[in-house]
Amino acid sequence: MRVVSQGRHEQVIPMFHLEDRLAEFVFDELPPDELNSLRQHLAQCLDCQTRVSDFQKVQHSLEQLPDEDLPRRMVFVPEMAAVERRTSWFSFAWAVPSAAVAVLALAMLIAGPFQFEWSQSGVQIAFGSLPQDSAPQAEFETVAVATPSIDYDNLDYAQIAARLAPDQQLLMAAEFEQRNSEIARLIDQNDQANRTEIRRVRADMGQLYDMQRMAQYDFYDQGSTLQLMAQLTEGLGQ
Amino acid sequence: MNIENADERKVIERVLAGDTNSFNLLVWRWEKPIYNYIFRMVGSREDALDLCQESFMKAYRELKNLKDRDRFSSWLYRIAHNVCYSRFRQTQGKTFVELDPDMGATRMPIENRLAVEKALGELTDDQREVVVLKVYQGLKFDEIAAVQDAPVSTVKSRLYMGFDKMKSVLGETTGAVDASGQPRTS
Repeated sequence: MRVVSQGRHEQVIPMFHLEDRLAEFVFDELPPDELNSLRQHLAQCLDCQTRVSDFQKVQHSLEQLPDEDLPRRMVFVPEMAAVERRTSWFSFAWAVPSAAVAVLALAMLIAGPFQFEWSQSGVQIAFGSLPQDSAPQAEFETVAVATPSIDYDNLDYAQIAARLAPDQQLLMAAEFEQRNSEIARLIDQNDQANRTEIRRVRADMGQLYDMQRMAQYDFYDQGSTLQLMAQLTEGLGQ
Repeated sequence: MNIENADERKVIERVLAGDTNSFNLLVWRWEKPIYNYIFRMVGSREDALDLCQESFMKAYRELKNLKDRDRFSSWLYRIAHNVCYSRFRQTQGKTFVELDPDMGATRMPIENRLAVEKALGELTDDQREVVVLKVYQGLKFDEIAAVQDAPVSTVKSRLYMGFDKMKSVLGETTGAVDASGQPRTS
């Protein structure tokens, strides 16, 4: 420290330079007492003023690059929910309407191999492997999917409702099953050459998931994800 | 009440109690910062999306192992850091590509933007990560130290070296910056 004379007053000037405290000073991470001392020093030290100025110029240059919005958003959906939906969509009593049989035939063409399983409630038809009854139902395996960016406040609900008609659901479910297997295989291979294909499949899956999610939360009436968020954040106040 | 104000500790407890949907609250809160962090690390939007998704997948699976639930964001950045560096190892040296040019709406002139992006790309991975986490993500030095698993002194050293290098590169970029290193704005 040193004492300088300013007219009739004497002022104590801290002699230590900013040194390695420069970054904390600029980014405001210093405790108040140290910050005050350094400010006093800075007012008197041209070298430190230059260092701060140079540092801030680079900082300001960087800050001119804005954050980006995500091209697509992510939604996490528990796989079990998907299984439950699939089971409900593919479980029929014996008296299946003939129109649904026609739709099912079309779905089979899309989805490829399928299996039958008899049960007390009727026959289950599933694409790929059937869910195992012995599997622990409490085990959730969550899948993440990237969904296209959607302006939830300006959705065309009539169009979405049309796409969620029962026969459409059936087709989407079959397609989803096929693509779910496809993407799992691609990920298992961990082949960089497949990355484009994985992205394409994920985007398609994202569309399906998003519509299913909106149906799950009855978004036709509620209108937007904001309400879902409000629902989920209920009781989380600080 | 919105996600910005939601108590993350309570959200985490909900998720761990089996309410998987609540994990979407954490995703919606953090997907943009994590995406932008990864994007600035790898330079590609599509890769950033993939790695961002991978980061949240890992976070969900490892959530039960998060000891200090008040430090979720630092923990999430640590996961994203591991995902990025894992990708860097896979790509063997080609750790950064020039940021995709269409950076969205910004008032910054294109030549200045490119100059800053070029300067950012000149940094080592560790230096660039410190710069990104500090300047764009606003993490404190001890949080960055936790992400990088390095002492705070090392983090600060990387920041200083990164800034020095950026100043030098910006100064060399003809037409994009003035003599003091400040990008021209007109």
